Parts: sequence; structure tokens; C-alpha cells
Amino acid sequence: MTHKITIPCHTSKLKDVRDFVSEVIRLFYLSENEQFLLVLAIDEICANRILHSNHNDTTRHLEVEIASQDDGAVIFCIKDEGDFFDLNQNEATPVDRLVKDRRKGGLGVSLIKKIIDSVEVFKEGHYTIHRLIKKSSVSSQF
Amino acid sequence: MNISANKEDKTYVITIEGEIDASSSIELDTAISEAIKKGERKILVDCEKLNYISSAGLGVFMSYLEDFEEQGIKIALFHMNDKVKSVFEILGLVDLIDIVPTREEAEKIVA
Repeated sequence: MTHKITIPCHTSKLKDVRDFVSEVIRLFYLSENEQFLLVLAIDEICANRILHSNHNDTTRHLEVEIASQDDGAVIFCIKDEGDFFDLNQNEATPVDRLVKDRRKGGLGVSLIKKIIDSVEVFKEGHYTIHRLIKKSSVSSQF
Repeated sequence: MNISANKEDKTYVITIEGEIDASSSIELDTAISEAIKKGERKILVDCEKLNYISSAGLGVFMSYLEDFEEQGIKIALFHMNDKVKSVFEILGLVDLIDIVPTREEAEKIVA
């Protein structure tokens, strides 16, 4: 079973994504803090895509789909028509460098990599797809 | 999200309510920037009603650390719930900014 939400590409819609993800992952055997951090990771990816690849363009849309595997892993697919960017190719800037440079951005990718077990980024037609996997040691209720 | 700021005795207290994300982090940025412009040197941030913070909010705090250091500004965050604190902990930011359980402890840090 999969769960899906589609939003216009605007950061004001990030709350809708967080509420959707929170609601769905309650079905999984994850601690409250694990759920909280997964919501954060998806929020980070969506914010990056909306701001940097879709430029807050509300005529474009972003889709988040959540499913589970038999081994209990949670799969998130984020699909949009924005510019392709593979965050795996982007080495996270050390925090002390960000602080020294007084940069407000740059922490999101680090958070995603700390929370999510695997991130694949690929093109499918004119869509950019992010496929995130969070492993679980127990089965879900799906 | 709602942010308010009040001068209380010798400290400047910023109170955050709600969720800080890529959409709302500009309001936190404005609040801290205004405190610096006003010449405040002792800043407390009440996080009791802060329910969520993303990297955009973390980035705002981090981007002012050099200013705080250069201008002798002391800042402490207090009453932060464990989930929000875990976001700071993941990246080791708890080593860069003071986050304490109570207002009394925060006041001692900025004293």
C-alpha cells in the first residue's frame, strides 16, 4: 500500500507535507523521535527541491509517496519536474566552515544523510526522483 | 509560527511559538538581527512552544555565532523539548550554542 500527497512548489506548503508524513509513518513501528526525524528529512528534501530546483514556482508540483517493503524498510519517493541535482555528489560543508562564513544554508544535506540510510536520485522522463530508504528492524502494520 | 521579543530587566527575551521551517525562518532571522541592531548583549530564547525546527532555523542561529562572538553577545536557548533538541544534537550544534533546561540556567549563562 502506498500513500501520496501532491503540493504546488511553494515553501508555504511544506507544513502540508510534514502533516502528511507524520500521519502515515504513525503506521510504522518507529519511536516518536525516529518519526520526528523522518519528517524532518523529508521536509529538508522537499524544501531543497522547492527552493533550489523549482524556485518556489507554484505552477509546478511536487509529489511525495510513502510505502513499505516486506523487510519493514520505509520508502519515500519525491518526484518533481525541477532541475536535476544529485545531493550524493555534494559533499556536506563542515559546520565550522558554515559558521565562519556566516552561512544560513548548507545544513539540510547533512541532516538528510544522518537520518536516512540511502538516497538515490535519478531522472525518469522529465521528472527528478529522490528515493529514500529508512531501514527498520521490525515489520510495519501495512 | 509566532515570534515575540521583550526587554526584561537587562536581558532581551525572544519567544518562539510553532514551527520554524524554510518558509518561516526569515522571521527568526529578523528577530535576532533586530536584537543585534538594538545593541542587546544578553539574549534569551524561550523555546517552550517551539514544536519543530528544520535546517533553515538551525542555519539562522549558526549564521549569527560569529557576530555574537565579535560583539560580545551572550545567548542561551531554554525550555527546548527533546525532539527539537535532537535536531541540534544530530549535527553537534549543542557544542556551539548553549541550550539549557530552565530560564534560570539560561540567565546565569548570559549574566
